[in-house]
Amino acid sequence: MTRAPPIVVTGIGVRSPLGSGVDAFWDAALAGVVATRPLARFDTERLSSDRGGEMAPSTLGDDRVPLAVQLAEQVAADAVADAALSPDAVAFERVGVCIGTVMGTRPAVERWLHSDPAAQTDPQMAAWADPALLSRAPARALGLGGPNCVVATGCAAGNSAFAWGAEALRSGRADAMVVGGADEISQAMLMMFDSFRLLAPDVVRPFDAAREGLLLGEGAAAFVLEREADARARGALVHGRVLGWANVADAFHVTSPHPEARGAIRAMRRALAHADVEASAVDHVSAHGTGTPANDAVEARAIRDVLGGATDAVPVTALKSLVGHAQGAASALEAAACLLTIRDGLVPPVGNYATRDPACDLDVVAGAARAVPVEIALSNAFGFGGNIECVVFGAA
Amino acid sequence: MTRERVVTLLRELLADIVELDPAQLGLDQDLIDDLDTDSLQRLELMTEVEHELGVRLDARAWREARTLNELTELTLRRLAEAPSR
Repeated sequence: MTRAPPIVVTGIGVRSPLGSGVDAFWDAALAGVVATRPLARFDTERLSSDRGGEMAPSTLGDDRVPLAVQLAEQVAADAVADAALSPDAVAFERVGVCIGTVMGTRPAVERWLHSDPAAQTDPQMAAWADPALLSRAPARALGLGGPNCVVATGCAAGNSAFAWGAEALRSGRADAMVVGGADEISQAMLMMFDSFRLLAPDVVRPFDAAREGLLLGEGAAAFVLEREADARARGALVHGRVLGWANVADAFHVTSPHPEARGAIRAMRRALAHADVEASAVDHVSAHGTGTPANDAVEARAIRDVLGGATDAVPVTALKSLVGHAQGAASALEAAACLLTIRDGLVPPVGNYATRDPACDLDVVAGAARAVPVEIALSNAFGFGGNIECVVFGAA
Repeated sequence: MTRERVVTLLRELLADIVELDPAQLGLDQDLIDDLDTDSLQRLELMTEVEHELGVRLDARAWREARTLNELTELTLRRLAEAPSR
């Protein structure tokens, strides 16, 4: 039994290559739209793949402001509006912001460093060198004066923001928290995955026998979290619950997951225990599912180890097949999908899935969205080199 | 390119990476269990072979290979398929 106050989600904001706004994003995800296409903003001449999930050009703002900062501001504002959070009901100096990211403002800093000398003396651009802007900029734009933090737990960062925000609420440091993740595609990330020979030549095929690697994506999602009693008292619409979370380190290798998935198994078990949920009660798993040969086999084994015999009846999806790997935003976008899956009883399909891999023995939702009631969803986020954070979401 | 030259090249490059004498590297030793290489070291070997020979190797097949003999076969097969740059 836990006496910690229950945490609920009262606002959602999404900007993604699948669409901006919760409805556009969700409609495209359910339809299995594959948003990875030839990249428009990058020189792909020397890369093994020219593809990725880019934001639509019409959604890009002032290119002197890092895209990740723009996105973080937009989704934070969207989430606060969706939650109908007003200073009349909640003192904004008690509302905090925590954003997860991999690259932060670095892509913009790199462009700045490689730009002409005149741009290099531009103090406006120099100011972007600080990655903490991802949480500070939304706080300033919205007047949110509570706890403020950027978490950089690799590709688990979106989930880590949920944990950080929920803990700030449980400890009483804040009365509402805006949490999420934001990242943009960068030449550095493209080159890193290319040098690892992990870029898929055409599309991302999580759990498929023919999977060849990942493609990068970008975007952002943010959420308003509140203690349930506070949300109910102000009459807020509750989208779902954040039941439990766990963050562990693989403590194994600089890039490879532990071959026996020890970190992944430990994180899933601890998150379920923290949520006070039995493994048999999990209705749906949103996989990390990058589409790389190593991740998917290890993750499939880990899921089966944790869920046991129930695994066969648990539909698994992998949003990265549609968006690409949006890095620190990935698990935030996947959290949005989990909450909407719980709301609608619809699991979006894994895109591009054609050939079953015996090494990935899961109930992969393929072809079309599946209608299935979901009360409890487990969302996995496995950062490169073993930053692992799992979150358990529940129905309102 | 002869098989012998490819074997010599692979041995020398891998020896540098794992800091052993080339003569200590058996062609049928397991790259993981016997030689204790990790995936980044095997990828490093692949990119060095590519630079030396001017070919592009199949990363997935390379990752799945477990011995220097298998890596030699992969390299020879690719050399036979692709004209060198």
